[in-house]
Amino acid sequence: MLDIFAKAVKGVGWVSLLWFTLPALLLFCPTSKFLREISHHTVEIIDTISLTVGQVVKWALPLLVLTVAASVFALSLFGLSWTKLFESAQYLHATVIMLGAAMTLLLNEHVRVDIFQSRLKRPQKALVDFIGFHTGLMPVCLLLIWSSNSFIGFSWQILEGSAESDGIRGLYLLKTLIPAFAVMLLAQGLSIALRAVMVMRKLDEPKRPSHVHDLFPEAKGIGQ
Amino acid sequence: MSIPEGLSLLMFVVACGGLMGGYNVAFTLSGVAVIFAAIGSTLGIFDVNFFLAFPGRIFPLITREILIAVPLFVFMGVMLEKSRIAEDLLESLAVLFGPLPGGLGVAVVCVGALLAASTGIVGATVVTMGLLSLPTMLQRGYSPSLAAGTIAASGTLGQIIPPSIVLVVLGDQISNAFQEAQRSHGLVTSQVVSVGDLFAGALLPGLILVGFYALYIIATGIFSPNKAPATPWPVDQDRKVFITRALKAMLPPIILVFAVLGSILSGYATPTRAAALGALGAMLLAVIKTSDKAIFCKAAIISLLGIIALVIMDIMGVDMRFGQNDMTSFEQMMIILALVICSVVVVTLLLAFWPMLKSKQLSAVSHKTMTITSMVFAILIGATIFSLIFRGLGGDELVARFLGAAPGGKWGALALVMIVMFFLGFFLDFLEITFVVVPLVAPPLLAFGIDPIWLGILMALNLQTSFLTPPFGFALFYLQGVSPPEITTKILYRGVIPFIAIQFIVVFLVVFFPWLATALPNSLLS
Repeated sequence: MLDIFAKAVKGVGWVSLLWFTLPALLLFCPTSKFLREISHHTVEIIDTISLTVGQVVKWALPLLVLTVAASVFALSLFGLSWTKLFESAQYLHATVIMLGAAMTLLLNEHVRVDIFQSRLKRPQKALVDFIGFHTGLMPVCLLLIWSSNSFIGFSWQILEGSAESDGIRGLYLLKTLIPAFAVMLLAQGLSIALRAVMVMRKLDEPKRPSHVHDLFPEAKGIGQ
Repeated sequence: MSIPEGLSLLMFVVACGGLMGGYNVAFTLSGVAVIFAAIGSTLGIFDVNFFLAFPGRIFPLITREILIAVPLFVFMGVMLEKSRIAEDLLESLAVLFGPLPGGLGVAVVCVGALLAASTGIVGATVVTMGLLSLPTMLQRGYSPSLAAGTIAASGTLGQIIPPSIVLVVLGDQISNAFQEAQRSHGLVTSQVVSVGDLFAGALLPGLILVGFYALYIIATGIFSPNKAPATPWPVDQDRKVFITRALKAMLPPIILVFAVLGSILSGYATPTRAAALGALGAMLLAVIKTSDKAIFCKAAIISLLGIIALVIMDIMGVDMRFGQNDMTSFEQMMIILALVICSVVVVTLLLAFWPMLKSKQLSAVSHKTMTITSMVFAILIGATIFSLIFRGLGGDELVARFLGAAPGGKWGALALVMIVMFFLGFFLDFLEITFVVVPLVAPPLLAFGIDPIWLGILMALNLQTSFLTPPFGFALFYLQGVSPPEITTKILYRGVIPFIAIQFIVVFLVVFFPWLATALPNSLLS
């Protein structure tokens, strides 16, 4: 059963690799109406997913504060060491940082060295992101997904749980966050690369969700 | 030098160049590394199976207990900032110190030091401080260069003064490097280093910095009053009312920061747990400050008092563990009391959460905390991939050999590392340097017998100085981005020079008097 599921996931993965030729195709045939429409839909769908996941996952943070604070008192006051409580802090923390990364990319909150970048013109900034996606983000994420295969595969087979006897029985899910992080970033990177091509080719961009800023703002003079 | 080592060196150079391109740091670092790994494997000098180790190396990063402190500290800082508690703190300190020569400047330095935890990113802190205090300083007649210098320097103070997330990640890296030095560089010692040790070590040098900054500003105020004019207390208000109001805005955040720090240094709580209590405290303070309905305000106050009561009961050391055989009636009573307080805290806490949720404040704080934390960990993951491949190509041995051959032995190697880090600080932020450089250079340095805490503090001070140094200092770029046009580059440079001089003095003080960094952690240990 799990085997069929794994094969299906892999099949979908291989097929969706075709999608990653889209930015290059659009760059060379910007006039194709078909490509433009696919690109628009792709960008819209991916952005919506990243934002929705991010908006849900961020609520794990207040929970994390409460969980760790509760475990402080449980342990030091009453001598209760609930492994489950302690481990759930790990789960919350890992979920936030791994699943929030794609939204962070969309909101352009990942740090850049912008000494020179901030002075570039709009299409030049778009080019930086286009190249960066194809030489940086995409290979790294594909590598992470490929190398996770054996790391989580075994874990799923035995539905690995915590090493502690009274821990949470979901270590396989926690480990799956690594490829999930890579898949979400890969998709979000694709969406941004498509936007970059649209900027470079001066095509219409899909509407940006309300609180997403322009990813390639026109350079501002220093001191303004 | 063999071919793989040459390749690893080239990889480092290309990565530094690539970062200048302006794509996000995490994936530039790892992307360059992966490309070089591919080159290496076509040349037959890099084993592709090495890649299979990645998830196994990344997984501990995202689950390690000490690193859970990062989102918690960020949460605390963002909460203090968004609820305008930080802003009020600055305002009341400014008014209170007003009559002092250079008083406003001293207030800015103090706030910079207190808001240490708010972010780990130099840029963000400088921007916040700049937006918060630059207009006020100019308006009160401070000379633009003094104002700009003060803010740039105070913005970087947040890194060196605990509890800062920079020290959390640096402490984690130093602690790993120390184990590495013992494992594979033949260092014989049974000592371990913790993040708490680094906090303790940073305290004294950090306070010395704050003191020197303040002295410089006061001296300027005394000798050239037109550069840092004093502002007398308002005359039309009753002095008592006015001071009470200032204290009311000031004390809660100050007490909060000191409580968090104290609980870590005294060993009462691990940094992670102290951070969680700090975040909870910041949230309750925010409710007290911003809620317009008295009931929520009261709930938050009761909750805060309840938490304080629980901590006090805990410190008093009454044995309240469940399931003891010989429980005295006093202990039974205390357990019941503690349970009652606990349930009161839970109820009032839930009540206090409500206005936070309703005003979307909790949502905004969580949002910002998540983007900062995700960014930090993405860099951590990217840098880990980079160093793994760097090691795979044998680069770590190259670095170790290079440092071993440095003229002057231990001191030569240390000076070399410090100079390289200083220049890297022109291009890279604290996190990238900590994650990429420290794991490479620290184990061989520590193998010389250098004290790990001392090394960590020196690195932190060194980088902080680098961020202030023209023409590339990070802090300067960010400050200029939010300054009014009359602050020209020249004014800014002139303003930071005295602060850079102070930084160098403190760096050399710590170099020649290592006990400044090591005495406190050692005495806390024993």
